[in-house]
Amino acid sequence: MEHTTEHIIYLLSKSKLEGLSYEEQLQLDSWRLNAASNREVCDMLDNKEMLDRDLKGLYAYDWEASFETFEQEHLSAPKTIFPFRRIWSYGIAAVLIGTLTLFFVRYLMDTGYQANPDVKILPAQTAGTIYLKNGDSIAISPKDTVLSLATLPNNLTKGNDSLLISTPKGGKMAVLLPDGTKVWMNAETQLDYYETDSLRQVRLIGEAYFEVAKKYFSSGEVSQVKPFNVQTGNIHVTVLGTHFNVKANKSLSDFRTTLYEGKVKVQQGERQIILSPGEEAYINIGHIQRRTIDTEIGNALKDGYFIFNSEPLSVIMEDISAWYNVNVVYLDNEIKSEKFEGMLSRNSRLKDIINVLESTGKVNFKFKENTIYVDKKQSK
Amino acid sequence: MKNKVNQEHNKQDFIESFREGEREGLKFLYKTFYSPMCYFLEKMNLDKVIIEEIVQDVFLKLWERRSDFNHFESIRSFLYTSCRNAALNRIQQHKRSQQLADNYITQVDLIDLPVSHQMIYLETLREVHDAIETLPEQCRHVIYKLVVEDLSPQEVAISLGITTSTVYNQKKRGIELLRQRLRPDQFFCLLLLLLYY
Repeated sequence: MEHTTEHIIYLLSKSKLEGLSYEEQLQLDSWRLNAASNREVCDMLDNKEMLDRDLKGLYAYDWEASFETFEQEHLSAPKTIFPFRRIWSYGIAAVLIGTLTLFFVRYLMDTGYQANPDVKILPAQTAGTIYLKNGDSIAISPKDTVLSLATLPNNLTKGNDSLLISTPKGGKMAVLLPDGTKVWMNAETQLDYYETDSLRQVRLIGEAYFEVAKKYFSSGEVSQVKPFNVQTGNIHVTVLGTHFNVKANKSLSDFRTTLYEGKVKVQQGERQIILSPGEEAYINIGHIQRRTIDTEIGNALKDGYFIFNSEPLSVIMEDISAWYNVNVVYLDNEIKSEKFEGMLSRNSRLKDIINVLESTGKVNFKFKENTIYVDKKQSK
Repeated sequence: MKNKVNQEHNKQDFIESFREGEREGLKFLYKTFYSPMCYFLEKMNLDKVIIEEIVQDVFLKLWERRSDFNHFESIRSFLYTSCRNAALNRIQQHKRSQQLADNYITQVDLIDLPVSHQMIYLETLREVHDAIETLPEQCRHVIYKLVVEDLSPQEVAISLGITTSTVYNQKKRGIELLRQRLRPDQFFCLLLLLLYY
C-alpha cells in the first residue's frame, strides 16, 4: 500500500474536494489507523472551522513583494550600466562609438602615467600562424583590418587532416577549415583541428565562432552526419551542422558556448546540456549550466562587437587585453567584480572603449606604454 | 484550467531550471511555498518581521544548495524542516516569556505534530486551495461554501443569493473540473483528443 507523503497529500486533498473511490478510501483509512499523529492530521482537516480559518490564513501573504526583496538582496543585478542601454533595442547600427561626445577632466597625481592610451595601440588585426601536419607553417598577415572570412587558398589546406591555428594577442583570423567549416577566431586563441573517417575534432583555447559545414560519412550501408566536436579542457561540445560560439580560457574559469542555429550538446563528465538556439552553456562554480541569451543582436566575434551582458570588469579587461595586445594591472581589487553591460565596436580605438567605461563613473584608467592601470573612481 | 494543468507538467521543468541556477525556477518555488511557509511560522507564534527573515534565509539556503535537490518532494521537505528548525532556534534564543507559552497552548493542534505531519496538513491545504482557485468565480464560491464551510446547498443558495438549482449545477461543474485537475495526465489526453476532433 502506498503511504508516501505525496500520495497521502493527494488522498487527503481529493477526499476534501471530490471524494475518494472505495479503494482510495481504504488506503487513507489504513494510513489513518497507522499512527496517532496520522489521525490527528485527519481530524484537523475534518474540523471545518479550522479548515476555513487556515485556508484563508494560508494565502494572506504576498509572495511577490518578498521575492522582489530576495532578488535585490541575494541575486545581484549589474550595478552599473553603459549609458546607452536603451540602444540595444534599436539594433547594432545605433551603437557607434564615434558618436560619443563624452569628455572628462582628470587630475593625475602620479607622474609617469598618461591620461590616454598610446595612439599606436590598435584593435586586433588579421594575424596568426597555421601549422601544417608536415611541419610547415604559414604566417598570416593580410592587410585588411575588417574581420572577414579570409579563406585560405584551397591547395594549402587540402589533404591536411590535421592543423594547428593560433592567433597572437592583438591578432584575429577567419579561416575555412578543410571540411568547409568557417571559423572566426578571437585574439590569443589556439585551435587544434583534426579529422578522421568518422569524426571532426577541435581543441580550443580562447574564443571562436563556428559555422559548421554538414559532412557525411558512410558507415556500412547508410551515410551519417560526421560529428563535429569541440573540446576545451574537460568540456566537450558536440555538433551536427550549426552556428555557435565557444569561449574558454585555459583554467576554464570562464567558459561559454552560445548557440545561434541548430543544436549542440555540451558535456562535462556525466553532466550534459543540450542547447537550443538562443541558449548558452556557461560555467558556474566549476559546473556547466544553462541560461538564455539575446542572440538576435548577432555574434560578437563574427559581427565585430564586444557584447558585455552584465560581465564583471575582470572578464571585460581580459577581452580588451587580448584584442588590443595590452597588459592590465589592477590598482584596486574590488573593481574587478563590478559588472558592466553594453555593446561596442571591435574597431573602436582603445581610447573610445576606455571613455565609455569611465563614463559610468565607477572606474578610472591610466596608461604607461602598453599597460593599462585600472582603479576605482575616487570620489572627490 | 489549462494553465494549471500545464503547470503540473512543467513542475519538473521548473525544478530543472532551478537546479541550473535560473531565476524562473526559484521564482516558481517561491510562489508555491512562500505563503504556506509564512503561515506555518505564524502558527508557531513568531511575529511578521521574524517570519519574513526566516523564510528569506531558508530560501537563500535552498538557492545556495540548489544542485543537491532533484525532486519537488525533497525541496518541499527541506523547506518545511528548515523553517521549523529555524523557528525553534529563534524561540530558544530569545527565551520568550510566559506569554508566548500561553499562546502555544491554544495553538497546540499543529505544533505538537512531527514536522512531516505538519507538512502533510499544510500541503493538503495548499492543494485544496490551489484546486479551488482554478475554478470559475461563481463555481469557486459554491464549492468553497459546500466543501470548506460545510453549508447545505440551500444555505449556499441563500448566502450567495442564487437558486438552489444553480448551486447544484455549479457543484456538478466544479466537481467535474476538480476531477480533471487532480488527474492532470488524463485531462491532458482529453485536451489532445478534443484538439484532434
